[in-house]
Amino acid sequence: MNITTGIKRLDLLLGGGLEPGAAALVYGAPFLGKEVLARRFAAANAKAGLPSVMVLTNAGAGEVQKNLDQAEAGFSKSPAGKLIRYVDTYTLGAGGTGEAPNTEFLDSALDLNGLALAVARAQQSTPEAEQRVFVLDSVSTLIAYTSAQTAFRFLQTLIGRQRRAGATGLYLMDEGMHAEPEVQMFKHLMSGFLHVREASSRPQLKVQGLGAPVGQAWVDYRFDDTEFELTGSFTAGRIR
Amino acid sequence: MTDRFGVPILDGPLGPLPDGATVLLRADPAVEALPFLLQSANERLRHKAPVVILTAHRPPSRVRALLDELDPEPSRENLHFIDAFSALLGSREDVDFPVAMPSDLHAVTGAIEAAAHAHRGAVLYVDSLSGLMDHANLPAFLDVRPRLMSALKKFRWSVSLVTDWPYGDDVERALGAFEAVVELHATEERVVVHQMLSVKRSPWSKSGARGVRYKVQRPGGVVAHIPKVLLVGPTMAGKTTLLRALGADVKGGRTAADPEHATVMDQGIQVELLALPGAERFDALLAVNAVQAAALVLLVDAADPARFSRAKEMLAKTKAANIPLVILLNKQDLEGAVEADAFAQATGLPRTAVVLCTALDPKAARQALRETIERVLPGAHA
Repeated sequence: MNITTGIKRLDLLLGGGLEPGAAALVYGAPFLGKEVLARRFAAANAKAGLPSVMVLTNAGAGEVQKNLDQAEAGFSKSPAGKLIRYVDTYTLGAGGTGEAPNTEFLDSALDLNGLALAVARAQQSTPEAEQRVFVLDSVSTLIAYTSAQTAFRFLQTLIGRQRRAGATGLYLMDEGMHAEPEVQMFKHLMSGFLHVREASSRPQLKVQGLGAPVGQAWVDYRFDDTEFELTGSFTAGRIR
Repeated sequence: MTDRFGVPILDGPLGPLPDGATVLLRADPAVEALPFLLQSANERLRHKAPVVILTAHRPPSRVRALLDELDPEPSRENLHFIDAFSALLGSREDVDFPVAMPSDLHAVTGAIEAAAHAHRGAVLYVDSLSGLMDHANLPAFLDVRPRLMSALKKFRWSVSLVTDWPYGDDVERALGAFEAVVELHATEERVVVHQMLSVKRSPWSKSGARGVRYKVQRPGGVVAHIPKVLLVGPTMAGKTTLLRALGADVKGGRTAADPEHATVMDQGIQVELLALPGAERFDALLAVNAVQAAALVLLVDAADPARFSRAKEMLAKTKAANIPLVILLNKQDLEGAVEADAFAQATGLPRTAVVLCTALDPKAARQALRETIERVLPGAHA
């Protein structure tokens, strides 16, 4: 059974969602809703009973839980909400106290072994499951804190682990922060990627290398703080 | 003051550490490695010996908190820090040796040299050699390596932690300069990560250690973990008596078919014992439970030779192969109890596996447990 992205029409575009164990790079300029997509992905799968781990380097777990509750009142405290575990490398460094539930707090994203350990602990704290999901938001912060090579070595190990654990993952990366060879290097680690961009003031998305996409052209979408929806049409490889 | 590492699971396999000894802990990602350093540091501090910790992955205040988590007792009076982390985040902590630019590995090494000079006889703990490599870059690390190794040798001894990311051959060769190497591996079962320890080399010990499973207790520290020792034997051989004599909180055993299980600690080693019922109608449990057992303990009533064949039959039914076997010849306090040679001759079972035992006596029971541990983890009791 394929894994839903949490966005119905994106699942259709992918030809039925993501293949189990896929590692998808969600790549594009900042402020185009990549993190909204990632949160919808974790929430939708949690509702389907799949445990999830979200690694957060740019926002606190408390903030993300609040956002999920905004999308659906009481979600974070519901049984589905509790299937999502967070690894938060942001809050302590930003002077926060680290009180959000279901969260492993780290001082910073610099300690990649500590991060790997926290992910393992978070995953072990979830119920046994054949399939699970994983979100890393974001690869760019890891590179900024360490270096492209260090982050690459870390991701190489992490993605392998996630695959063996039966986790389907979204890995977020900001366009414009990295040199092209670095981006290519990270793409090689992934099963495929979802590319987002803004064209004529409209956000657009394109799928490459994932699932059995019914179209590989740019498709319009819209998003706000809690919703992400494909609005452009697509069929048999072209936009109508 | 002992010159042992200070973590029981490693004390024997590493041996006594001489002056200037350099120990490398190589850890797979997602394995708990830092507690080895912290527990060892706490042990030194407990004896009021000077300790220097170089932090490359976390601020010194966090290290203090982690030391407290394992054991808050030892005074921190002799604890000193080289802070090669805080400056990366634009902060600064009040420590003896702050490093203004952690990406400058010569500056970091200079701080190590200064700390060795200021605190003679101190032990140095480097919380992450890979952190230092990451702060700079690999060529810079390879460039500074000879000076760094010589700085490490100025300490009483030193322990450096490195995460085994897929580095290249250059780094592999550079790490070859450490005298002793302990490897911490992860074995995965889906999302569960089991942690194993091996001493790859130590010039100061012959005992070694391979594939020792461990876990970390907070408070407490690193303990070797023997996940399943199967205790089998005919009814009335003394299985429950043995578990109780070990002071274990025995669980299970509510019905005749319900195995009893107990967790026992012995000198930093945690053993999970599983005692199966001795009646013939439960023999199907023997082979099922022997799967993945770390050792098999056959308990025999030495004063009841009529049941020796039953004991032998139970052993055969476990179908256990290639795991350590201990035969506890129990009830040695009774008249007519046979000794090891006579038992081996009567049953054809290996004489070398036989240990005499009186399960009623807590000391004898403890000794029997140690014999078992020694067969699973040779040299574990330093």
